[in-house]
Amino acid sequence: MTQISISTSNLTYRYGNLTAVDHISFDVSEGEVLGFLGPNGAGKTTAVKMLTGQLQPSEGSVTVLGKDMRKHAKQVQQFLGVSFETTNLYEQMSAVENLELFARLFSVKNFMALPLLEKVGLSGREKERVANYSKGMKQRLMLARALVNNPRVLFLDEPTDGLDPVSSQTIHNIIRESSKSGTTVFLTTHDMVEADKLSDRVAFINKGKITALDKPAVLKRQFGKRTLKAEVETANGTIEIRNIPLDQAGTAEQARLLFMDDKLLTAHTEEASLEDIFFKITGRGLTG
Amino acid sequence: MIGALILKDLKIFFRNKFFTLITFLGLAAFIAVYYVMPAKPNDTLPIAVVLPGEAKAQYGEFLTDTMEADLVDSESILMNAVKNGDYMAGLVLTDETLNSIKQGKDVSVPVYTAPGTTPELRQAFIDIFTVVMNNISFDSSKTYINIRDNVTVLGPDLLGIGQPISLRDRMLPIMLMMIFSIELIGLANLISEEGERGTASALLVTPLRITSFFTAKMLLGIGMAFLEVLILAAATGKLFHSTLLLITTLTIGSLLITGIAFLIASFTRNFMSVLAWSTLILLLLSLPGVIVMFPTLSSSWIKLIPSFYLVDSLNRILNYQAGWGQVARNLLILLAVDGISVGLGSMLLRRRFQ
Repeated sequence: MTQISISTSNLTYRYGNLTAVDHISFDVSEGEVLGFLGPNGAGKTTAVKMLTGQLQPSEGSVTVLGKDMRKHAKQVQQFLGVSFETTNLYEQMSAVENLELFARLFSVKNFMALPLLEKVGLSGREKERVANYSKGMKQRLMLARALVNNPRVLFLDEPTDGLDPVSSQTIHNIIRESSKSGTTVFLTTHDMVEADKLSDRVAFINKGKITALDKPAVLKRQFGKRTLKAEVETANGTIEIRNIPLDQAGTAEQARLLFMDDKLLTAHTEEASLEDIFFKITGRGLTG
Repeated sequence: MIGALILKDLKIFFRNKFFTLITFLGLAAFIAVYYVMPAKPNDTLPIAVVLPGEAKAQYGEFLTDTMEADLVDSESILMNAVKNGDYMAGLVLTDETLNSIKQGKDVSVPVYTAPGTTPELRQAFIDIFTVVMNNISFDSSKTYINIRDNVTVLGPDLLGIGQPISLRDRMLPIMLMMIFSIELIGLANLISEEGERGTASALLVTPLRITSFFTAKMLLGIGMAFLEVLILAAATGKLFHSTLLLITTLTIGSLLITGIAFLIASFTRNFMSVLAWSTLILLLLSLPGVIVMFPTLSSSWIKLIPSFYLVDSLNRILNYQAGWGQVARNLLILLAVDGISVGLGSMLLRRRFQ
């Protein structure tokens, strides 16, 4: 039976009169990757702060690894790994020193920094001061730091924001590996492509509320419109683009006509992206 | 966990070239300054006297012997010399004045003092001149003048030892305060950076409790400040009188500095704001040290500054060999202030970091 790693019920946080997180409820299973998607200011970071025990909820409850975070945050934090949105490393220290410090805080016995640094592609520069690292290297070191205690739940806040493709790919691989080995991953991002690639389920958060929560494929089926996009050369020699909806009664006939009357140049199916769906549900884009 | 944090902070502190330099340079400079300053009290007060031509032969030797005064040729030369700081005071005696003195009549004599002469010192000059003139009068008129010897110890004669303190020893408490101050800036910056760079958040999502976080900072602050002032006290040979009392006082003083560093760190956002606030607070904290150096400036409001109780205790222990009983009240007040500053500082920092 699948264990629930994270469970929230009517989780709410208010900054004065502003409700940043508004009665959100969801569960995340062990080993699952949940993409938590929303534009800036939607309440993602506040939600993560409550889930990781950095903030006490104004209302509702949050349980992580079966323990109430209000009462047992420090016990649970022993099993959490958190990678923050903004770089918060000790830049005057080396990568090894950063990792060793956190290993001591987690009381990890016989900690070896080098294999972990190798995993995130930082071996060879492990003794250099972090201040000299590029943004991508710092982000990868943050991920390594989050993995120091071999966490059961990993919180990643915009882990690939502004990174080069190589760094992003390294981080994606580690997320997949962690999930395979049973680590629950709570992935906060506004990169829909990343979320689509990595997440078992995605939750859309907008103005503090969860507006949709399901598998990406289900959301696409539910809210998207599948089409066949074809490029044809007509009888009079002009080139046209035709979008044929795939789920309608006349689809087969329209597709047949592509081969009968015109010269078909290219054809491929198109699905609605998560971004399209988010826009459809919330009426706003993810960058807004 | 606390050990790991202290080790980390020490690494970061000493990898900051500015703080490393200022820490070692400051310590070396203060020790050097201490030994460069005269070891014995130098209370010679340079005085000049103008005497009319004929009187020089009669009274010149007497005046230069009794007052260790220099004779100058004219009132204008004397005025310029006093104004330029060559003499602290000058006395002008004319034929008319001397005749009146010899006859035992009241006289009015111009006395010049250097700018900035304290009222106490001015009074001391007047007393010296009065004694000298009365001596001249007695010598001539054989009139008995009732003059009592009146020794004035400049500065608070705390334990009634009747001995003046050398300038370098008077400077010692302010030197210790300056070293405390360097550590204050360093510690405040270290804590402020944890908030500003978000590293505190990273630490606090681990099993590390915020109380352990503050304890580590507090131990680091006390340790650093304490160790440095201890080195200075040892280097000046002052550590070895009342060692336990001195160590206790320095520890309580280090705690005060840590509490103030907590307070500064709770509302500053970068190094410049730490520096600006620390400088302002340090000026205030240093004032009691100035009072020890220049005791005649003392005012009762100085006791409102918490560092007064630290400086006063250090002054009594280092310079007057005071015992527990003589500084106990000061230390208790200081401990109360320590409790308030560390408590309030921790509370404000907790609000900032959580």
